[in-house]
Amino acid sequence: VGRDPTVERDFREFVGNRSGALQRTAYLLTGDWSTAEDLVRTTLMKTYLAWRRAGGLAAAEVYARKVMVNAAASRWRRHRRGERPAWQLLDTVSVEGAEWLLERDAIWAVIRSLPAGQRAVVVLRCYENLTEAQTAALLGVSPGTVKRQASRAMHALRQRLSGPSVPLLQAVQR
Amino acid sequence: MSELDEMIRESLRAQVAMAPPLTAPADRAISAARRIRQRHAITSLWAGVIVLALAGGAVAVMRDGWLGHHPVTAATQSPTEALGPSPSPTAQPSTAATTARFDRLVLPDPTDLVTADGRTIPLTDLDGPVGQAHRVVDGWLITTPTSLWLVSADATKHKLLQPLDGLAVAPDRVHLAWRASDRLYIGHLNGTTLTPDQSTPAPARGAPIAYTGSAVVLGYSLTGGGIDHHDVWVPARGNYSPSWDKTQDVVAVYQPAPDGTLYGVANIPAAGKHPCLAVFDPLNDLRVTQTACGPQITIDPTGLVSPDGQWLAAWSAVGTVSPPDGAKVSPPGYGTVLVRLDTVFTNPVVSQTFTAGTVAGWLNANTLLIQPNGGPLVLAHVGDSTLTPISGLPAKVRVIP
Repeated sequence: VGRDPTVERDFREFVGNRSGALQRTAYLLTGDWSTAEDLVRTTLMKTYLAWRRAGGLAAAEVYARKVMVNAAASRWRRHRRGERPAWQLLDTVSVEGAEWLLERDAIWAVIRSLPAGQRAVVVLRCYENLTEAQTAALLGVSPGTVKRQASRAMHALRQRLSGPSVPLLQAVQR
Repeated sequence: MSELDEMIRESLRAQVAMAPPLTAPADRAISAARRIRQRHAITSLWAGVIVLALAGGAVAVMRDGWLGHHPVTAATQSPTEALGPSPSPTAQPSTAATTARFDRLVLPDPTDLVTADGRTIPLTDLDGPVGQAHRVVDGWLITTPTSLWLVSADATKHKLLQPLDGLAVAPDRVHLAWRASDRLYIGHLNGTTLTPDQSTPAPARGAPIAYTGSAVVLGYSLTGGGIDHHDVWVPARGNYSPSWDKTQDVVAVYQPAPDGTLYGVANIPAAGKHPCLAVFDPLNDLRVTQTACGPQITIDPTGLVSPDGQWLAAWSAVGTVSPPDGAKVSPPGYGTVLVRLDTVFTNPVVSQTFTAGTVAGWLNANTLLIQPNGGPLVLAHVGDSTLTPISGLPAKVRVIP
């Protein structure tokens, strides 16, 4: 990339427009704002390094998302042994108080506990509103794999949210 | 959309409703990118012979696994007879061969192949700058950006493949793995003929970087700064099936040892921030089967296994530098280390340290070449800290493994 002013200008424009969205997706992929910031920083650095090769401003968003999803999966694999499974946290969820908040957080806790691939599929399909084909392209897998990952994620959500603490979800499962 | 889908969506939106501000993300990314580029530039400089930019823009990839037992006259150990091909009428004697006898490329342009027995074979009539070079039974395999050539022992050249998008040579020097357009292949050499044995559709990115004889390790660079993604194709199981997502902890894969053992570098979460020397199982998605971690094992992702599979020579942090006789030294803290592979996984220590430069290649099971910073190549020996400069070689020489 060197110190090409055009590249730097386009890159700054991209960051200005999209870094917030990338940060939010990064958080959903990692579950931690500090880690999300690290992930965004790494993603932007790699995107800048590959700016011309990746296709410049027009292709930056797709490239950055690919980098971020891959980096998040890599980080998840490095640190998974130290993570506390979210389903254990569900044991402490109470039905008292704001039921929806509890359910919302319970859903989030389960999503955080999913393997990186399943979590990425859930985030990209449900939060980013990507199609199966778009999600497959971003993750570098087949649409069939996306379908399987989504199915497993939904199964896990239904299984783990079937306890007495989340009655609304029990109704949803039917 | 199901009610569960909608609840998931609402939950995710709620989680990111209060995102903290990012601090100067563009400035920080650009600064970090520049630091990375500077580091790569320095690394490339010091890697010297290992990764060498050829005239014409091709990137030369150093391969390990030296097969021959070629003598080097500057060595203090007794030389043995060279295994190079017999001289041909067209070959010319090389003055460099009087002081150092091993198969090598003289770079950059014109690129010559100088054989262990002292002949110079010009490679200027190939269809592009030279990339990889490997010693095989009947000569040398040479790659250009688009083709694979066999330079026979009598100096005749045979184009074996075109197009070619990546090549790995098995430890037996007979079986090859390569990518051509959108397919991966394995095949074998028989004289001057390369016969494909099996093929499979290739992934969008990635090319063979190592071949154990039973598994083809694929690699590609996402950032352009070196291979950062790895995958495996096991031909005996049929077509290639992607598993990039299962190899995220793999940092680097070295060329297979003579027995096919696959060593490399892996991130081991329990070991802290420094990656560890590792043994990978190529038949199980490069699963780590053994590790050597610790303060003395700070192996850089470049390394060469000795021809007998007993040693790994790698560029690494080495602590205090004391200049060896006759050779310039590396930047403080870096040099070449030797790791004994049959004990390092139970006793993770560096066996020997050379404070000069990067390893350029093994000449035999006990002797290796080291490329100091800007100075002449030096010989180093297992069990002996003395470095012996080699005279009479041009500045840019690449050992052919």
